[in-house]
Parts: sequence; structure tokens; C-alpha cells
Amino acid sequence: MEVGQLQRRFLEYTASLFNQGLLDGQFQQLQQLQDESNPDFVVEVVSLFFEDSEKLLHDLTIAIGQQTVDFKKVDAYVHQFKGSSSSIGAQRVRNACIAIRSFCEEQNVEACMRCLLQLKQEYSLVKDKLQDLFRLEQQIVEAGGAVPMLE
Amino acid sequence: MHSSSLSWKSAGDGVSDQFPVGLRVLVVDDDPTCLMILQRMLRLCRYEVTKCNRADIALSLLREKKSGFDIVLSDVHMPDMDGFKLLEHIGLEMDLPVIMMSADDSKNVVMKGVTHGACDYLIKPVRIEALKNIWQHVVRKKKHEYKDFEQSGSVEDGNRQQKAPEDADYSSSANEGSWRSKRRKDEEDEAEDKDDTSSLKKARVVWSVDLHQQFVTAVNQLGIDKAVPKKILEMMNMPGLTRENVASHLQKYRIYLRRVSGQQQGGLSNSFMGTQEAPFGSMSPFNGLELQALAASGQIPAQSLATLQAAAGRGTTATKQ
Repeated sequence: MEVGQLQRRFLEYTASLFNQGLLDGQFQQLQQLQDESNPDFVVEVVSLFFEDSEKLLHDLTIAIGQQTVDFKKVDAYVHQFKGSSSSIGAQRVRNACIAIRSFCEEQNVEACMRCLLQLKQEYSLVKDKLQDLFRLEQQIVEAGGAVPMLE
Repeated sequence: MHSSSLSWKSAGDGVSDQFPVGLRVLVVDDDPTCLMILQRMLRLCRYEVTKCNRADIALSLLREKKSGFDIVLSDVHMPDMDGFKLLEHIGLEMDLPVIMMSADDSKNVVMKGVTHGACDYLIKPVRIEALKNIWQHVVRKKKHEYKDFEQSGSVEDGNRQQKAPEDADYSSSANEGSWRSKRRKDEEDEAEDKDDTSSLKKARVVWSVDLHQQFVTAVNQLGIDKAVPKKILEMMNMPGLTRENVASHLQKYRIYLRRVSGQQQGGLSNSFMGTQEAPFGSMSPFNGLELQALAASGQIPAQSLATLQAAAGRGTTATKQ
């Protein structure tokens, strides 16, 4: 596929992610932080996010699975996840965090577990989509083109 | 004393008009993703950034390089230390402007930031636009200090005002065992033109360890309930120090005491276990500041203070009287 087509595909894909609410304006903020001196900034930050999130989700799962759930601990994990996901613009993940927190306040274990499942699904989804996006970017660069930015 | 900040050197170096380029920011956040993004944003603002993911490390950095930073940005929720605790320590020891950050925008948390003396509170996710203007907090603080310095008359080391450009360090040097209010010689002209809203401004002084200990001694002698700024000031007998300086320091000190006494539920033994209360760096329970705080809050009799301090010096565990 030639560069022009790849670039169009990339733009359409990016737009769809915004339209589906998977990403929000904060992601664009990240893109604006990238330049020639820091050409891989977005990939680096998002990779860091994935790494950190996997650990968080693991700890969160263990915490919710305890005999006696320590809701303060669960809330702390979720709060952190809310912060990191919002910092990269992963809107739906962030919203799933907000949902868990309200059930934490109610100390409703079952609801928390259901929300956790949903959180994991949202996380997996945005992770896959972002990895696809980065692959598209790479194809453009390999074809000698520049990665366009969504206005 | 060296300063790595280009922009704060005197006119002799000809770079002061580049301000706020090179503003030295310490950013503290336990979330690696946020930390990386903040660092990048701050660098784009042309600030000199040091990042840190733990509050205790941040505090040691600040203590090590007493004048190495201009401003601190800290997250509220951190596993090893509450951001507000860090804020208190910075207020008491270094008196740098601190900006709090959090994904939490609930009113009580923001209010807590205000009452603990944060000069601003940013809701995450932080945008670069919010960071571009943080330098204003540094200038504001210095203007207050300079104004107070001017108005309060002579200072111990008043003749240092005319010192050569290499004395570019406007932050205090606790090493000399004396205090110096923050000032910028090359801002003198600017300062004279400024507006007259001093009545509402609180002037700030840098509280070195020695100065703070003198303060605490005065408070202890008066008794925490009877310790009013005017009397404390009288007892401290430090030329150049104003009632306002003492009042604002006392306010911070009371917050600190409240927090410390609130954690002493099990009595004295807790703090001497060394693990519950801020077990980091020189703020261990055997630090002079903590002991005096305990004495001041009436938790240990003043006579025991000497015993405990002596014991601390020998590195042994003190026993209760």
C-alpha cells in the first residue's frame, strides 16, 4: 500500500477511536508532545501505561478476590488507574474506574467484581486498538511517509 | 553555594531576562505514566525538571540541595507519604511554593490543599497550558519576601545585600545557622515600583533548622495554648523577623502538631517504634523537630526532652519517663 493510502487509513482509524469514545482529547495532547527531538514519545508513554496497568489490574484482582475485601486498598488502586488512564486519554477505561469507585464506597463486592470485569474488557479493547494504531504508524514510516495528525 | 539555574543569576551574567526558562522544578508522582508526561510537558516549557516517584526521596533531594529548586509539583495520593504531609514538611523546612495535583477534584481535597498552604491545585489530567504559568508562584513568593525584608529594617547579614554576582543564591543556606530572607539583588529596581497591597500579603522567611528550633523553644516556654506570635517574636529576639513571619509559621506548626498528636493514639511508644510516623531520612522520631513537637504538644514533659535528645545522640532507644 502506498504512503497516501496508509496515511488516510491511519487518520480514519484514529478518528474512529475518538468517535467510539475510546480515546479523548488528552490523547491529542500527548501527540502534541511528540516532535523530532522526541519522535517516539507517544509509543513510549503508552507502553509504560500498559506495563503499569497490567500490574495494577493484577493487584486489583487479588484485592477484590480477598475473603474480606479491603475497600480502601481497592479504592486506592482504582484511583491510581483512573489517574493514569486519564493521562493518556483512555476515556472508557477511566469511566470504568469511576464506576468501581462508587461501588467501593457502598462496599458492594459483587458490583465491584462486575465492574472490574468490565474494566478489564475496556482496557483490553483500548490496548488492542492502540497497538493497531502504532502498527499503522510504523507502516507509514517504513513506507517513507510522515505520520499525519488529526486536527 | 552554587545555583544551577541560569535565569536567577544577577544582571552580570545577562540572562535574567530569560526567566522563566530554566526554572527548577521538582515533580513528585508515584504514577510512572503521569510522571513521564509531566516531565515532558515541563521540559517543553523550558524548565529544568527533576522527577521523583517517592515523597521521601523528594524530601531528601530538597534537603540535600537546599537551594536547588524553585518550585515543587506533587501528587496528593502517594503510597509512601500523603502529599499533604510532604507539603507540610516543605512549608516548615524549605518554604518553597508547592503545587498539588490530583485526579480527585472533590471540594474537601482541594480545600485541604488550600489550608495546608499549597499555592495551587491542578486537576489531572494536567494540560501543558496549566504548567506554563507556574512560574508566577515563584515570583509572587519572592515579592512578598522582598517586601517584608525592605519593611522590617535591618537584618543580621544586611550587609550581604551588596554582595557580588556569585551570591546569586536567593534561597536560604541553613548551613550557616542563620536565616536569610529570600531576595534578588537584581530585582531591587523592580521591587520599588510595585503596588501597595501589602496589608493582605503574608511575608515569608526561610526557616532554617536553627531558626525553627528557636521558634519551638519559644513556643514551649510560652505553652502551646498561650503562644501568640507577638510573644514568640519577643522571645526569639531575631532582628528582621516580623510578627507576620511568626504568625504564618505558627499556623503551619499547629497543623503539623495536630497531625502528629492525632497519630499518637497509643501514646509515646508509637513514635519510638520508628515505623508508623514518617520513617524516612532525618525526620525519624529522634530528630529534634519531632521531639520538640511532642514536647510542645504536651505529650512528653520538657525535662524528658533533654534525656531523649541525649539518647538520640547516642543512638539508643529512649525509655519513657
